[in-house]
Amino acid sequence: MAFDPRSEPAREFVRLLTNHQGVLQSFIASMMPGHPDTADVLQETNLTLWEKIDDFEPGTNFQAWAFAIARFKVLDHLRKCRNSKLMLFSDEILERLSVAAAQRHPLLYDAKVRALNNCMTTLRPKDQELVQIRYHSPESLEQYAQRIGRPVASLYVTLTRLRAILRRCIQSRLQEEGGLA
Amino acid sequence: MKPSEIEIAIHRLLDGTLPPEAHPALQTALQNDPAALETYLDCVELDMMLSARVHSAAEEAPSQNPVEVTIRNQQRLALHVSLLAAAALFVLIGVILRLTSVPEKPSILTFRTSPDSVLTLDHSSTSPEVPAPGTLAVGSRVILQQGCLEFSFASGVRSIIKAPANLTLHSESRLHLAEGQAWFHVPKNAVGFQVATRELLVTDLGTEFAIVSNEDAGDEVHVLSGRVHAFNRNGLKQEETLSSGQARIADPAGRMKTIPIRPSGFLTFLPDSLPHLHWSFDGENPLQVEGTLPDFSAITTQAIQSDQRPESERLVVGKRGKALAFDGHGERVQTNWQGFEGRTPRTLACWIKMSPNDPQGWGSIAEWGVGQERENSYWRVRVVPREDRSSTRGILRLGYGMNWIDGETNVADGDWHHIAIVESEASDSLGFPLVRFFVDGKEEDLTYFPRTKAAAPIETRFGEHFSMGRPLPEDIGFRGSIDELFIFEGTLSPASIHRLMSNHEP
Repeated sequence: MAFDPRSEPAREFVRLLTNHQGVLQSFIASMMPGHPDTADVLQETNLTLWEKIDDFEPGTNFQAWAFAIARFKVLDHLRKCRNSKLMLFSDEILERLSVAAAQRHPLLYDAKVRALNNCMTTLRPKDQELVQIRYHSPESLEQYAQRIGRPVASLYVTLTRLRAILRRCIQSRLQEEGGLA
Repeated sequence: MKPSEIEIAIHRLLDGTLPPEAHPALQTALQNDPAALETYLDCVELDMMLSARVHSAAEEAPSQNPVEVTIRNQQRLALHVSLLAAAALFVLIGVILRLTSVPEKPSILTFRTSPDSVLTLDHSSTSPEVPAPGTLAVGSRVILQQGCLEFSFASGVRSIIKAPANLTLHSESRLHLAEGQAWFHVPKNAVGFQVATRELLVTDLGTEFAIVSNEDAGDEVHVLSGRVHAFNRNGLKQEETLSSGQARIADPAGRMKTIPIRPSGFLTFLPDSLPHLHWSFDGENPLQVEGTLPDFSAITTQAIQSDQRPESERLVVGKRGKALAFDGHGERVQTNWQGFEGRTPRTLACWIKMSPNDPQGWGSIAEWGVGQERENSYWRVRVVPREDRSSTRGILRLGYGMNWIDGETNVADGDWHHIAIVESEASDSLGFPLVRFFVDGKEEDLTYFPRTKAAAPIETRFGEHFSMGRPLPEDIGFRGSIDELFIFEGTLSPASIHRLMSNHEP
């Protein structure tokens, strides 16, 4: 289509694309767990969605359409890196994941993000630091373990415990709110 | 596998530490147990949210130019969608089309943005050149969603453009302004510089001038000094040479009609924040509004008293200097400012102090628009009671008419609290605007009402002018104090809100 980002259909499309970034990225990550190229596949998916903007009929299920394209992109990407040592799921599990993920509403994702922001503040500062190291720091968890004199395996155990706490905290906050949860 | 074992295995898989021999057991669990599959999706989602959360926190650190587009791949078409603040999906979108790699040439135009500006760059019509960051090439198009831009042409022409704006660089001496308000200063050596709109072609004859290009009304030219030649491109194609102090509006028939010039209606410098209004309640004229929103000097503010005491007696010790107190029985502040219309992105921030459990405190803090309850045509920030088991909290509410959004934190406890309400132009998939509340710099959990069905259209309309403390129809006023009230045209970032809270300046 002629590129006119100011046109109403294009703006609506960008809104939909924006609102679904969280669920889309999670869906892609669920199909390629631990894979470092999740962001690239998301980028490729966004690009393809944009190129196919004319194929999307406003008012229809954007999420189902976007997930179908994302799934294709993931499979294509995984085929290209067949030699990767990462563990992949069977086709049957990928199918089940697609069905289950499609039920997840982007609004619920937003509510979870808000809940997570609050739940994070309930963690002790040193636990918050560990999460920061795991998810953002250029320092690896191994280097961090060495710096603070703890076995890296124990840090992974702590991380698993913290994520379980955060997951329960998010669920509990959503239940308190009612409605969306 | 037990549920706890499944969760551990999932996290190990995501961390890349799950041994290969443990993978089949996890696969079996995911294949046969729907609960395990849901746990898996929850864990992946948490992983993504944590990653986005820490990344966005890092990205929100103050920077010289917050609007820069990342080019991930120089060899092909690229679309970059960046989550600036993942929590509420406030997004900066940069779209770059038809990129190919060629040597850089000296730029004909460099640009800077004010903090918190959001823009989209489109280089699809440029020659096969890659404009360097912060520059435009002939054919480059800029859509400014919020904030301000400063253009510096190699010829010496300087321009300040305020959002919303949509413009295209046609040549080094011609700019097309499809929408927006722009001010231009043209030095002598650049005489002949042109600005085209849908209706006007304005040619500089050595001057300082401004253009207003509207989608819904006639385009305007204002000559602030020197002379310009203005030509109506429609119908009768009238043209005229205008001098300092003259302004014209183009009508659809092709005529040029005289209008009053607005010498204070345009920004002539790049502001260091989003355009805003600020009531500090300090100084010799404590109700005088300051700011950078065009024409702010024409805004009048009047304190309406519930008795005959002087206005100065309502000034109390504030968070900084003085604050204005409201008695909840009709005292309010009324301005002649119309507020923001439609879905203009906006941020309201101020300090408030309210007593606990005060039924006369639940009135409006600030509001404007058309007060119809059967449509979403006003914008009202207030504090409402939320009953708990043993006490009543006063929580923030943003009301539109039929729909409203509530925060969580008790702000009615006798202490000062800094509040910020941020509303984006964009909507979620149910039609609710993307809104964030901040209390004392911390983002609030929000509850949307009604949330069981799609929201009614939300469009603020011009009606009642902007006021503070205005009593509700039930005659409930606002009892408490307000200090350092800012209202911005655009969505302030969390980092900017923190700065505002700490410094009392944007």
